[in-house]
Amino acid sequence: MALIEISELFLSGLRFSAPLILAAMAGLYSERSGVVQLALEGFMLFGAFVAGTAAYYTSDGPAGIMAAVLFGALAGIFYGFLVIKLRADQIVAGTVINMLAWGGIPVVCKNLFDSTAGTPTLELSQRLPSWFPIVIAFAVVLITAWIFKQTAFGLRLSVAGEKPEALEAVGVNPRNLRWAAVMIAGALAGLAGGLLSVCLSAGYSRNMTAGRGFMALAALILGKWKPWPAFLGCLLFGFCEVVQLKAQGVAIPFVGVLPGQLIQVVPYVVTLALIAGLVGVSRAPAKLGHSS
Amino acid sequence: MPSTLLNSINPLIEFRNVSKQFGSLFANKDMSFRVREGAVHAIIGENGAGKTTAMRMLFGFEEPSFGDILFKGEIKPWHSPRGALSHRVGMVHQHFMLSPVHSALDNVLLGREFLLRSKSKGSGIKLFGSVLSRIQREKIHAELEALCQKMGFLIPWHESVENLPVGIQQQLEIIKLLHAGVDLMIFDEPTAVLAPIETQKFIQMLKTLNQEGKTILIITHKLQEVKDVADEFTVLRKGRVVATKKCADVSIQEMADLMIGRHVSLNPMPRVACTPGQAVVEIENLSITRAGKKNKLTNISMTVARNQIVGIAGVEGSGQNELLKLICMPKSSKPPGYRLTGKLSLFGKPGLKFSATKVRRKSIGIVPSDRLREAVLADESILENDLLGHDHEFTKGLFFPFKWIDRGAARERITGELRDFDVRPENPDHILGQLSGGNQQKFVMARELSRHPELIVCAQPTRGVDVGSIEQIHAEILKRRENGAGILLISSQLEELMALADVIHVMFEGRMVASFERSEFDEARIGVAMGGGGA
Amino acid sequence: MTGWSRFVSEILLAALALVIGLSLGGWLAYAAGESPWRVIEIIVTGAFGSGYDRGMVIYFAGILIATGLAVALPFQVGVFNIGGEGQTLMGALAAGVIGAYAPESWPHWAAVSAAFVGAVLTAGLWGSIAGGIRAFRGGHEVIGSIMLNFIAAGITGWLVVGKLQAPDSQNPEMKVIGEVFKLHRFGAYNGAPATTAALVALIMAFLFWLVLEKTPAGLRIKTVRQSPDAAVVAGYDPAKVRFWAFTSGAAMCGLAGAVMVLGESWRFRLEISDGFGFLGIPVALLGRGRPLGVVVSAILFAVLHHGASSLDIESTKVGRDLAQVIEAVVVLSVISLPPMVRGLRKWL
Repeated sequence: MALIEISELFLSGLRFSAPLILAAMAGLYSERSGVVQLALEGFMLFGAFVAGTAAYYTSDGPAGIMAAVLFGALAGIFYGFLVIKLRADQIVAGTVINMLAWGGIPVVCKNLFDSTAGTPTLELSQRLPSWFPIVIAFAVVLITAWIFKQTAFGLRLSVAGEKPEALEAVGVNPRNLRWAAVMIAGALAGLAGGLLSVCLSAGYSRNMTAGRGFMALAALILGKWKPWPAFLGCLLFGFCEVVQLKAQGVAIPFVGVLPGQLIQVVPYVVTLALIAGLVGVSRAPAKLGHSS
Repeated sequence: MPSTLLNSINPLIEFRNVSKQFGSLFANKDMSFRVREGAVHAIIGENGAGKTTAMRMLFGFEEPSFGDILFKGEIKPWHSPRGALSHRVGMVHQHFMLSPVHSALDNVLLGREFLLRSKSKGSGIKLFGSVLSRIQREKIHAELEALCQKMGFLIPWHESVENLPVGIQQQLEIIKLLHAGVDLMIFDEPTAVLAPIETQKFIQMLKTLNQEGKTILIITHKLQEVKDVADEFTVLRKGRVVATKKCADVSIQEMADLMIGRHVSLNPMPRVACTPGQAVVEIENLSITRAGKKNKLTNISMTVARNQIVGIAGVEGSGQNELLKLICMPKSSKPPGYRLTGKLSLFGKPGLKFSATKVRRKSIGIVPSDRLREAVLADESILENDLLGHDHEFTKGLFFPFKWIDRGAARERITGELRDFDVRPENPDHILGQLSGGNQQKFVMARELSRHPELIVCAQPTRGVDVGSIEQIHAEILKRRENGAGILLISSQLEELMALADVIHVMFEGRMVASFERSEFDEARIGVAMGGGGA
Repeated sequence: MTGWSRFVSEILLAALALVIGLSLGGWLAYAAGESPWRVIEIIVTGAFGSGYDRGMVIYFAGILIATGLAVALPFQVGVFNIGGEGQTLMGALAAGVIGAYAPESWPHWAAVSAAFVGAVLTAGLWGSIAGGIRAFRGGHEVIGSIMLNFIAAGITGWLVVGKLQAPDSQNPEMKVIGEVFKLHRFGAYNGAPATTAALVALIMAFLFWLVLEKTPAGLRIKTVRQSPDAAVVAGYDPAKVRFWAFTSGAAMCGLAGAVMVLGESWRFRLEISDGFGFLGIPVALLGRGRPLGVVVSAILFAVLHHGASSLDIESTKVGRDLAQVIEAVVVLSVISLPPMVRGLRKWL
């Protein structure tokens, strides 16, 4: 393929990966503090919808994004209430949030815009440039890596997910850290969704995340809950996604036509192998899921 | 330690009629004792004596239900660990509060990431302030290294804690407290996890700390250590203070007597002399070891024969659990990473490969130490509980999925069982959790003993049981012995062992440190062995 | 709590959750400008109005009983089966393949049985991957199941567009199954795919109950759930129990998949599982993990699901998505009410 095509493919892969990266970082904060994050899909959908709606009504793309972040943070707090305060099962609670998104958004959408298919298409002026998410994603990874390595907050958060007793022994409350973590997770995932609808598309369309929330979770696991490896995991997912679209019908020497659907599942298979302990060791934060 | 300090009588800490109640249970009752400033003061007692609860109250994890704890003559002003630290009181727990995956350095500076030694007052900052505060790793590292020099510690600061030997982990906990500037240090069973060499180093270090002027409180049951390092000690038994004395005035034998107490034997049970028959359990030179970590079991050799009760004495945590697991589920008795050497034979066959299921099918009765967690399902009926571990007797049908449990047959059998062992109420549909402790235990005995197994393994058979039921249980155990069973009896109640056993082995730190035939039974000597003396 | 009072409190919780879900749905409808009573009316007539509708409800109920059991059985040992979608797909795939490519000369009952068995085994096998990872490697079964859902979608997607695509169709679907494989539809329902499969699902629920109450396997499941330590002392192996519970649950989804292929669409097509695998989760949760509860819950959800499809047509203000919101709120209530009640009790 020509150089132009390859660089086009590369950029396209980055664009696809950007929301994934943000969602993966969202999951990172939450899971490192010990709270399972199955609700990324729901947070992203909410973010996408809120951003699309707000951008339409205010005719202002950035306003839509900010609304998405805010709503995401609120959703994160709601999730925190369920699992930290009420100590409900984290997996079921995450699933509930997803279900609320899948069902609730079309209802509200229909009410506002008379259609469940999506929000009205945004004009170019209301949107943001498509390189924007890539920059933001990169920035967030940098900041996250720095927070975990260099700040007290990051250290304490990671200890909350490994041995909360150590925090209690020095008078720090792990629960507060978890509240902060789920709020940040909601905000970042909301941001991811917002960018998806306002920068990478022309508005929210029904079910537009299409499993990206779970992809991000898989990438996080692939990346062993660390910022940069998770970033790479997201790139892997992104490129597989983009390559399979391009590769349909194209024959590769010696192999023949590669089925797109199978390329798509490669990252999932790798993740599966990882948690089965077949390729290297996958060590989740010790308290993951048991922090209720 | 300087003898002039012996003459000063400033109590740094005073417990004044302190009691701690949990529900209707008293963990500590009416405790009064003093700890002298600058002393090394040991708190000794068996498990369940209330030592840890007392220290938790001192450190601020709990509050006394009655009475006061005084610090420097005033009621202690703190009510949380953080408060204790701010008054320069620190505690090294038995189970370290370290995160395994983080580095040694990160673990030590946790909570005080940018508080340098000079700013040691106050022990941490609120959540939002901490977000963007950069950890002062280099500065704190330098300070810690200086402290290490003084103490003679060698700590690889950037290594993950899980890769560090236990002795170094303990040093981390200590350095953490020293960096925060503590004057009173509380140690909870500090040598429980240390190998002998590490223990020596630890004792040295304690002396160094004491010479620096620190007051040391150490909880232990190891009497030799108390003699080696402490100036004075307080004995707790069943939640009460028995005595506070100076170490120099007292011998180890006297310490053991105080710790365990002399009892008038319970009404002696009628006992028939029995010659031990064939061996049911034979253990030969068995060790469970791992390089760099403390052994779980070291060189255990013993047999349990028919018509014999073998008693295992020892403070809890001396390896009895490992021994129990070894016999009841040999295949899974070895934790991952450990090596098992030696021989085990059960019922005459090599037993190390037996799974728990296989052992259960043999003629064995198992009464585990933690009744509610391991022996029964509290929310189910007596009938349901009777099936646990024995359902294969009532299962009809050829193969899965066409097998079913004949509960009718079980029901017929159970009424006899319940009557023989005097379980009240004798109703198979009664929920087990609602029975009294004594009846629950009698039920477990009934379930395990009524099939006349050749081998009976029971741990703490009369824990939480009323006196009347205790006698019934003891009588049953003796009866089984006459009828040909081999019984392994693990108990922390010395008088129980002395009343029932033909031979007593004393376990300490995973080793069998002494054995006594019935004719040699001597409460004083056994007590000393339990405390590690005469090893 | 005695057994009886526990039973009553479980029913109360389920009923309350249902009421809250419906109320919130009603409130949302009101906020959207539609009368809640009208919504209920539409749903009820949509579900029971004609023979065809009633038949569809039976069809959906059968499927939901199967996917509900698939979640409920592992739930009994504390393991969460979120892989229903993938397991259903694989089961449907097996049924579709057997139905389309097996010889036509078999008698009806043998053909259908073969297809069902194939579906159940395949789905069970698919589930055993996640179950095995959890039981024997300690990896989390939820992540594993989610991955397997995606992988199943990928594999079936590939097969149905490539190798196994029906020669006479442009759609992503397989060849039509042979006549002997098609399930007979009850005439009373005007062509709706109400078949004996629904009865089979009921029987499965009954068998589930039987296993729990009467067999040694049931005793082991009960013991592992209430006290894994007691299970070990009794000589049971918690890992094995969890594995088989998970795998058997997954096998139930195979039943659902087979019903979809043999009963309704008569061929395997892309995304045939259509969310029913996932719906098993609310069904199982509302049914409190018990076989009888799952059956009742499945019927309720089937009514809701089918009735709500009329909302798209009959109402301009709300659509069938309202049903999903109701389902979500029901699950939300189930998980939040007990801790809230506990908190309230402490406070009083």
